[in-house]
Amino acid sequence: MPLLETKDLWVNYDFVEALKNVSIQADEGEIYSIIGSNGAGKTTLLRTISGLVKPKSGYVEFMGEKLPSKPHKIVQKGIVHVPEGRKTFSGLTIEDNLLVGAHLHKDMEESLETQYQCFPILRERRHQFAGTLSGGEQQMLAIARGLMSRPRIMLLDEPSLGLAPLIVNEVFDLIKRIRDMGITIFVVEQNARKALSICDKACVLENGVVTVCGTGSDLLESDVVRRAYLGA
Amino acid sequence: MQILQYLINGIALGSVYALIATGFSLIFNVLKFSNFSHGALMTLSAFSGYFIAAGNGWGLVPTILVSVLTGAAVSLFGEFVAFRRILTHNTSPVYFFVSSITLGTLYEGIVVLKVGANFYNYPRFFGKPYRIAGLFVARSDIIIFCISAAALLLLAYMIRKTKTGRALRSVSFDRDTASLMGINVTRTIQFAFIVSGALAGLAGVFLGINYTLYPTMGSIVVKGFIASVIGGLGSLPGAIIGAMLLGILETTLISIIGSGYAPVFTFVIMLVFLLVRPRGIAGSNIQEKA
Ligand SMILES: Nc1ncnc2c1ncn2[C@@H]1O[C@H](COP(=O)(O)OP(=O)(O)O)[C@@H](O)[C@H]1O
Ligand SMILES: [Mg+2]
Repeated sequence: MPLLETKDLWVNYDFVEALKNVSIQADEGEIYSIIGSNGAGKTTLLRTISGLVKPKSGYVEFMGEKLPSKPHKIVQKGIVHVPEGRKTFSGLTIEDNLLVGAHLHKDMEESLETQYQCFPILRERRHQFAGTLSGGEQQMLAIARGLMSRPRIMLLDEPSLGLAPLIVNEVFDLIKRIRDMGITIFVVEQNARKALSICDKACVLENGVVTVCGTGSDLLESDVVRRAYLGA
Repeated sequence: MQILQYLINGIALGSVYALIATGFSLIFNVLKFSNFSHGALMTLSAFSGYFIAAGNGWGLVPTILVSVLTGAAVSLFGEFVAFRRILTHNTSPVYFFVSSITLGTLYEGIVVLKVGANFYNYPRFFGKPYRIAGLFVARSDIIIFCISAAALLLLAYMIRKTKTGRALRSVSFDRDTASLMGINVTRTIQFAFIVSGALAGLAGVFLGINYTLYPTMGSIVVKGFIASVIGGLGSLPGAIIGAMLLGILETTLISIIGSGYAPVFTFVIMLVFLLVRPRGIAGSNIQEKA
């Protein structure tokens, strides 16, 4: 049984069909990636899984069960969504950002300590506003905040967006480490080369339709993908 | 010495403005809209304190409790009937404007139905003023100041230090992202309305104690709005400082130039202030987010 599965998802905004019949399956413990260009529907897919957007038809299953409809109930099930553009709470301190991430838990101090050990920079600056962090640090904070909820699966929306290449590498290394901790990763990316090189499985999303799926290395070598997404 | 006396007289009024301003700012902070029903809610709560408690010979504490509970309960009701659907559909802020004005008119209408255009007075809860070193200090002013200060300190503690307060702050920054953290956004907004309504109820009783009760007494919230703008919209400490300054300024002006000219001068000073420093005293960082 896959950990996360979408079944025939159709999602509309007023006049735009953003997802058309999307069925995908992510297994426990893997890095699963969706690549696609701007406007393909990647963000919509994540927002549908986390409950921010309601599908017109189709549904999402997690561990074989249909998900509840409210976002805060979905987090409770063990799915955390790190949104596009980080969306840290800029006017809250770094520590408060992390604590908000642990909203559903009682023993916050312990999780806080774990994250500070993982991200020493966040401990150093814990009393500063999140808005004072650089883009890369904000991405770290957004991921650490997500981990505070102790998820089974983390949904990441374009974690490399707007970051310098060196920082992008750091973020992807971090993603692998999180997977090694036993947390399943579902990452959507425009940066296809990077995403395909770290993922176990991937699908291509084009104009709301899933066109190709395969292992990361299969897709890296596929002619179609290379021409459309890797500039080769 | 005279200056000191004005200061003392202004503190109670300033405390009431502070309760109004923070109750108003709280909703503004969380939902980014001005709740124009706040004043009428205050009136409704103060009158229910009169009819349920004070008018039946109950004392000060039951009167305060009845008003505060009424404020909280009616505010919660208002959130559900007037704002919930606008919130969930993310429609234009104009609708908030219209619904809050409509709701306020409804509350005021209910009061008018019951009392007509009459003025009411709470029974005298307090004895003669204290005389300390040549200064008069009304007992009611002391109580009003102490209870208001306690309520506002409690509010500040709740917002800064508790889990609920953190949830409130994150919801006021970004509702969607807050919900992704497991926060129940609807509950959090309801909580903000309860607290805001309780503050309106408390302000209503205090106004009734120091002045009179009449159906349009809610129009005084304009002063609370002004205080929160002087303080820097969205900043709670700013709202409290603005309210205190306004209260003291007003009572001082009334003593010096009389109650006819005082409001004119008060508003002129406010306008000049806003011209010079439109961000208000605290110039909040909350605005920068967008
Ligand atoms: N809130 C919205 N209202 C209307 N259309 C939207 C909205 N969000 C996204 N869209 C449209 O849906 C499609 C998919 O968008 P999105 O999921 O953001 O793609 P991606 O994340 O892959 O760039 C695009 O055509 C976009 O214009
Ligand atoms: Mg996107």
